[in-house]
Amino acid sequence: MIGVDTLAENFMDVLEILADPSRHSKIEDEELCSFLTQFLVKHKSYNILNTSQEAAVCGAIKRRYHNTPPPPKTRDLVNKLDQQRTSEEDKKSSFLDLFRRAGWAATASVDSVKDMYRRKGVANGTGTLTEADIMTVIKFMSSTFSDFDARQEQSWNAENFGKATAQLVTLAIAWLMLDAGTGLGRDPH
Amino acid sequence: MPGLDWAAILTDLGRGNFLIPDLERFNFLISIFRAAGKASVFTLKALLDWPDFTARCSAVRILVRVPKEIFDVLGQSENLVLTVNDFASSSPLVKEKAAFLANQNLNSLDLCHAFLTLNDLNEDQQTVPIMREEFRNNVELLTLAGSALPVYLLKLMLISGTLVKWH
Repeated sequence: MIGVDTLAENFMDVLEILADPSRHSKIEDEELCSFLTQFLVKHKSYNILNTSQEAAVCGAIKRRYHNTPPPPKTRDLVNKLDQQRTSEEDKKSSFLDLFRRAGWAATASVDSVKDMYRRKGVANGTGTLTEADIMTVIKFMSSTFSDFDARQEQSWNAENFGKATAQLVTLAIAWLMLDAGTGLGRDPH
Repeated sequence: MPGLDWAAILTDLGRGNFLIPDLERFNFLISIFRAAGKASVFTLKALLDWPDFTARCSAVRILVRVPKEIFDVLGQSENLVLTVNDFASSSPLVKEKAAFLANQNLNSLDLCHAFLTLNDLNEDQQTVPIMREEFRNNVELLTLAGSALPVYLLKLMLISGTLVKWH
């Protein structure tokens, strides 16, 4: 615990070492994963590192393995932490924030739009989708529509957004009915 | 979220400085509603009733020129300024002109009135040139439709320069 504290105090040095593949080049997957677990997971409740510092550590690991395949245990841990952090951020974000961060990729397919809704819990009935959410996103997409055109990129896709939204609403109704009838629709968490 | 009220979404779009700058953006909006199976709420009336002046103004600018394939203004209009049948006994020349006017979006009485009753025309620099051009192109329709709204008609005529020309 004290060791971890000390590392946190020398955080920038730790990042530098982690990002540089020439430092501790012989470190094994098991060792690195164990170190990261101690540093990022085991003592998480002590709030030694904040969210952005955790993201910086994950980023440093990715830079370390930028040119080589990452070792599996370390890769899985970093991916898991990234997902958890994204999930936490998603909970605090509005729909508009999600679409803004994702850019046109958010409407690249019906599934990618559904993924936006899933990240806010709409797909499984734990989140709600209001008219104001949809209206705000439509306004945002409309106001930034030509930004992509100017860069000759693919732009927002109206069809995918409309289809996915309509399907999600139908699905949410089904969850509500299921929940009302049996309680099965309730999120166990 | 028992079901989204798409009509409310469309109404709320017309608040808070939203505008439709071009046909491409109009097409984008209507495509969302179509894909959601809610094209029926994307109506002429809903757009003309947009609460915010700027939003409504931008909608009217598009509606006077939107092709029928994208949005059927006349098909959604309950009242038309004129029909070809009104000129059944007229000369071929008049019939031809009537047929042309009958197909203009401004043959929609609702759109025509919205066009004529937009307030503060002089302050909306994007709208005025379009108003002038559309007025000149559709002076007969607007005169017929605007007969109940003489003040606005006079204002338009002054803006378009038509009054000077007629004088």
